[in-house]
Amino acid sequence: MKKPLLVTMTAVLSLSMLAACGSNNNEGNANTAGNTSGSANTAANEGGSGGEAKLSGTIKMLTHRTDYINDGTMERYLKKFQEKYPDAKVEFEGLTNYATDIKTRLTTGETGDVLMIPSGMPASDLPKYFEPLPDSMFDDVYFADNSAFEGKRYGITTGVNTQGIVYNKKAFEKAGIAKAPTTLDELYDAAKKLKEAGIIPLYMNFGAQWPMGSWGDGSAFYVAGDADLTTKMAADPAPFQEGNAWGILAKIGRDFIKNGWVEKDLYTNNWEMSKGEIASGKAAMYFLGNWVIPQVIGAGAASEDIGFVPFPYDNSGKLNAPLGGDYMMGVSANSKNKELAIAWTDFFVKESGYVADSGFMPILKSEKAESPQLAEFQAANPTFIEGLPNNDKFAEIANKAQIGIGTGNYIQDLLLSKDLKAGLDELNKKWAKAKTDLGY
Amino acid sequence: MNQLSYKAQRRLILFGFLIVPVALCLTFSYYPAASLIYYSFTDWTGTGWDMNWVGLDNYKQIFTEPEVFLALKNNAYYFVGGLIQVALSLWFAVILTSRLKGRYGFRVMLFLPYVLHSVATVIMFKNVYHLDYGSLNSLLRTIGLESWQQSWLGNPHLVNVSLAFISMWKYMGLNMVIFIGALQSIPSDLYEAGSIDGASGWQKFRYITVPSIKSVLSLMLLLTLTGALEAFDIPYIMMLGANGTSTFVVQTVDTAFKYQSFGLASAMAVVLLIIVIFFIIIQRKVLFREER
Repeated sequence: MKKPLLVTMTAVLSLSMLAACGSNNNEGNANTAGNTSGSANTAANEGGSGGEAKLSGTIKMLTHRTDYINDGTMERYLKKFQEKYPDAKVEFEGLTNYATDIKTRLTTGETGDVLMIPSGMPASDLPKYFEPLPDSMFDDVYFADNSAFEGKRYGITTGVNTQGIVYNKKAFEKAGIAKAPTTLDELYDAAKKLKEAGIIPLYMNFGAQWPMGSWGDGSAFYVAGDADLTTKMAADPAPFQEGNAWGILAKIGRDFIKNGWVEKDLYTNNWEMSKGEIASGKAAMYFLGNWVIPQVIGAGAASEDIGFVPFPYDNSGKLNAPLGGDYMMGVSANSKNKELAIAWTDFFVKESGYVADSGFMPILKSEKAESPQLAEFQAANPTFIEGLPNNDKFAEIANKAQIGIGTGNYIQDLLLSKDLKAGLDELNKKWAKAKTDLGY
Repeated sequence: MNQLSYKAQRRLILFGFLIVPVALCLTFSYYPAASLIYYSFTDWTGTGWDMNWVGLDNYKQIFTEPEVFLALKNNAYYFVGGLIQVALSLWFAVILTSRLKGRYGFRVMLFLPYVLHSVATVIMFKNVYHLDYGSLNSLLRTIGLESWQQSWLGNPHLVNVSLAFISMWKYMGLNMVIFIGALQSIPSDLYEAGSIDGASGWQKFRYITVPSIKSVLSLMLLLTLTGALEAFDIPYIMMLGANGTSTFVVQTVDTAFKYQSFGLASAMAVVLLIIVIFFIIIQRKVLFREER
């Protein structure tokens, strides 16, 4: 009787050790201390708010950024907050395996006062765990309604991400490539030249599994040019087609693997090592979000050597790029000091400097990104498509069909299936079956 | 204290000592097991306490969808690996109970892999199997066997063998130590008598050693079987179950944490539990039959 339990416990334990490198899709495995220099004070926008200095007490914040707790960045944000509210105190608790641990915390009620809302939580569950935030916080803010239910907003985004090709300019120079690719042909051409120069053209991180989301659910909506793609997919018994965004992305990924334009050993998880390879120019490109840029710089690259452009998925020259929110931050419904918790949340996302330090784009629509990479990206003038939360039915069908949205496991299979059509048909079969089983 | 009868004192002490382990056992073993069985009849998603009773639906799904049991095919690799491991460990045990010079050193060397944590073992083997930098491929290159170099984890025909080898390497030491224990309990006069009668080394092994350790041997085989059914850490840490390496437990964990279906995953865990209990009953029947 005991042995299987032991196994289950071991399973859970091992999982919690592992998922740290698996599940944090949007902010990566941010273990790079030391990339937090300088820019903290630039976002400061203080003054004029003198009359509120009466908030006091102690609140606790749960966060996935264990690195920012360890290197004192959080403490720095708190000092700045205390200039405004001298009697306020904030304690920080970092969860290494945030994405799964926070669900247990919510279930048992040990959520602290301020926390990141787990991605994928159905909107209808929000009022159970979170306090509505005042509408005044959301002026000019991206994704204001992504964590809203019945007209009330429960979370505010902690950063705006986009996605594209992060590349090493030195490596491009060495291979004789004059400029970053803007069309699919140019991308293929660049890959060919890089390979000839003995450089790994694109580090796909196939073995780490989660980065594979870029070749599927992480990109399909903007390639399709449809922010609400998941709602359409939920109504479609065969959403994976060669001609649509899924097929386009998978074909490019398959071409890269077929031509040897990616790392050779596909199945070893080399995530930490790959950052160094991009930084040193042994590998040239990543197809990931802007959040990875500070990490590549932290791994030893000079900022001016790293560039960032939209992913050229076709030859039209007019590209779409996504805008996605990082974790949403909210105030726990159990909080005893909600006023202070709300003030801290507002300060944290708008004034602390966290957004810029993490390499995100500003959460205010009127602000321009400061980092040179994001400026380069915006100069390419892509059409930004604001991502919407996944349709609830879409999520249910995917779970039932055991298609791991956000995990990348099914994309691994798709990119290595014998031919593209067969791989897509396999997904359609599972999808259709789950859809009928659920009665949608 | 003195007013209490001897019987009452005895009870008091017994209960006093037992209450702690029993409470721990109930809290951390039986209560979770009971909840597991309860969840297996619900559609719990793992967040909050909202769940609906769905009766036997989860079990129906397990037994009607062949994919779930297809994963057991991968467990078979670990079972075959386990059989080889038992044979090898017996061989080493026999050698290392003889009067070999430095036998204690060899015993320690062979047992050490078992002491290493699986995570450490897997990280080590990542460096062995890596396609470019791996020590295995480097070795093959150095001794001029370039054509034998393989993508040990990428080749779908090889990957499960590579993984089963790790499990074999890790657990062989434990089997060996248990065998050594059993071998040392065989009285040496049996072997002396055998030598006087002119028995060869093989005959001594076949007619003295094997019958004496038969119960340990069959215990080992059954442990190998249940161990193979529960194979999880190595394929999960190394591959996350990718490239067709997902075993039954890997699939259970994915179902719970990747697909948010704790109900179905609990049912899978219960099914595994039943399979294992089934084998344990067989083991008891086989092992203790002779003693009765």
